[in-house]
Amino acid sequence: MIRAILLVARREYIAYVTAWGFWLGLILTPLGLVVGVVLPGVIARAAPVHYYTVVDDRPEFATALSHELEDRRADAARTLLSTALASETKEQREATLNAFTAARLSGLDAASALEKVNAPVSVEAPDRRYYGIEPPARTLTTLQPFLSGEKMLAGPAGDKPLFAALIVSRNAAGKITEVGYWSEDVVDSDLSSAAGDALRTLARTKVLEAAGVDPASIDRAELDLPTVVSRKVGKAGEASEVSSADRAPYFAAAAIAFLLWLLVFSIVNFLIMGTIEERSNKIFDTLLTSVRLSELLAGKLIGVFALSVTLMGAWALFAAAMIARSGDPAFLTFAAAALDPTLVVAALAGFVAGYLMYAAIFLALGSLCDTIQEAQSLMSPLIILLMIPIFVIAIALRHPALPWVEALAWFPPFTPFLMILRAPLHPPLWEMLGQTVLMVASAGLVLSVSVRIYREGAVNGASIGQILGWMSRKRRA
Amino acid sequence: MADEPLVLEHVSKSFGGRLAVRGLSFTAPRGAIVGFLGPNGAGKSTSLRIALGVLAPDTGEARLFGAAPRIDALRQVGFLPEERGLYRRMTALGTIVYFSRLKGLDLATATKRGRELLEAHGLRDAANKTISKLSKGMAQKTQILAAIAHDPQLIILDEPFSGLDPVNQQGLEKLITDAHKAGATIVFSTHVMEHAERLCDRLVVIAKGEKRFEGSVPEALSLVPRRALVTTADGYDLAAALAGRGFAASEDTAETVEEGAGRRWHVDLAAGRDAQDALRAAIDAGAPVMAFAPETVRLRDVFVSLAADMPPPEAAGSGEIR
Repeated sequence: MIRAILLVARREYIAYVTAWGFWLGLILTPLGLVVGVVLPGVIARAAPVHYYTVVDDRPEFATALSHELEDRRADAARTLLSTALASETKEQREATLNAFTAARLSGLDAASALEKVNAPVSVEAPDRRYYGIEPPARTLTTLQPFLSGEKMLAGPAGDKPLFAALIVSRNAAGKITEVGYWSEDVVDSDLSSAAGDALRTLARTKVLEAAGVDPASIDRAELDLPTVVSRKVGKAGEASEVSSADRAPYFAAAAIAFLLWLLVFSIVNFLIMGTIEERSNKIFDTLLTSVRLSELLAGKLIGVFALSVTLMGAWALFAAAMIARSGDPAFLTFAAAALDPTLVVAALAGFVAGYLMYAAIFLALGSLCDTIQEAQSLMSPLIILLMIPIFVIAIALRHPALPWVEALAWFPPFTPFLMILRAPLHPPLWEMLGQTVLMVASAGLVLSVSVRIYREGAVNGASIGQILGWMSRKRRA
Repeated sequence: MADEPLVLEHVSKSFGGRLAVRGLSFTAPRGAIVGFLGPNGAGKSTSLRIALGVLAPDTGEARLFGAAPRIDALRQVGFLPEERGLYRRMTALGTIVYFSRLKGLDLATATKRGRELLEAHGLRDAANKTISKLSKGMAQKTQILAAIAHDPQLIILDEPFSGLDPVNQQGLEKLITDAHKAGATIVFSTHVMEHAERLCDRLVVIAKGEKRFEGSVPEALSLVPRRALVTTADGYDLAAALAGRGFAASEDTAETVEEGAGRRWHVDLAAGRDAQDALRAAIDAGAPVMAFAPETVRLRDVFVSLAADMPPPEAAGSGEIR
């Protein structure tokens, strides 16, 4: 019996692993993740440079807007600097960041401030996206040809059309009553948002000056702020500072739950396509005169599981290589957290039961379909069901103790994912045992029904309509 | 009887209220080549799937080598289903090796046997080609070879000749006779009577799910009356002339009979009388005989008469008719 199962499993494994689609998925998934991480930065760096102009009788708003834009650029540079300093001690990091802020307060722009604090060479201030230009005209009618691109403006980035004109209206007392933002681009809201912030800064500065306070003194005061330190009380009653090692199990659990979700999603195609091929190739009669149906199904499940493990193993190796290359201790803390015994047990139970439950459903569905189109129409409700855990993972990552997350963990289709997510909370043993028993029982039930459906579909050529009829007759009986 | 390779007893099977097989019983004796004949939709494939345990009968039972058709008994069986199908991305050799190993051969033996069979049947160059790259006939041959590679004691082939060109059909006939010589019992379904006539020593004929005949080929041939074909001059009524001499004659009304070529008559030959007796009677009656020939009874005629929508003919031999 074992021999037949292994022969079927081996054939399944080799059939899929030699298909170009497998290698495409193997390579494209991590590539997609890398692109997903890198692309936003690339897009941000590739954002076009724009010219804007402020039409105003006084210079204060234009100056405030220019400062606001530079502040935003400096904030982005500070975030990059903070990320680059992650491997340094907390004190070293804070000292460098404070030095950067001080350099900014002394009037240096973001690039010069980075230079002054000897930032790592990998940290660069983002390119300037907006340049303020002297107004080429004073009225909207005369500005219009520049806004529409009929006429170009000369500036630091060459000849360009006018991206936006900000026309400031004031009352008799000289107070700004409105800033008209005119632009052909109705989507890009960065400049208009910066203008709003500049107006707020201007108003605040005026109030502070009226009260005799130097606005820069407030910024300087922030350099010497005390910090909030998160602490926790240990089992022995001792207090300790909350570190990344305490948060790592939650991220590790989320990563494992996501991995399981990815596994389930990746086996969908393998199982369904394989079964459709066998059904359309009329190969079942030959197979069933050589192996038992139970051996055939077990072989298929093992073969595809081995395939998924190969896929996940390759991705894990890729991730390990990236971690090793980065040498970041945060990643090592994360890896260590993933080996927490509660998490390992929950992950193993979730992987096995979750895989069996979903794989059995996909096998049964595939056995009822002659074409990919038929399979797709049957798959839609299942895909929607499968999308729910991914949303729950996102929420449970921040709030794993939410009552409804705890309640959903008892719903067998979601148990594999949520049991893993809740493992870092170290739920009571009865809860983990109860959920495991329910999950295993559900997987057994789903397997048993799926085998019957598979027999009807694969051997007798039944359609989904006939299966529904069969189930309804069973219910009536 | 208990350990006959294949026995079906009173097997019935219906699908959604439609009766596909009704009370079917037959036996494939050890060492026989049994032709399982019937028109399309007669229930042949369903009966064979029941025999192999792929389908469960509603009533009755199937036995392989005296036991229920479970996987242990099936290891001694090679099966070619009517609806052909292989893994398209598997090589021809890989296909034979895979199915042979499922039947119990070890890897080395299966590979050796696969290479021998491919070589022997002109598929040596196709050994490492995937099934998707083979012609339909070559793929079908590969599937047949995969079914017999483990040297089964019972080979069941469902419509094995369909889809094969005459050369490959001849090759398959040789393969069947070779396996038979090696001691295998063979059951194959077909509606091409020439193959059955050449290969089989026993026949089972079914129509509309019911058995119409089971017996040897001579017994089957004896079911259709022997006849003689007599051509007389135009205007002569041979039927009337022979009526008093113990022979029944009926005119051949086929349109292929040319005008002026005379009238053609089929004269039935009762038991104990041969074509010469009919000719003598016609001459004695003064018939203007222009031509005469004994008609050869073919299995096709037996099949048509058995499988057509009419009551089975009277038994003329020892073959069992139901």
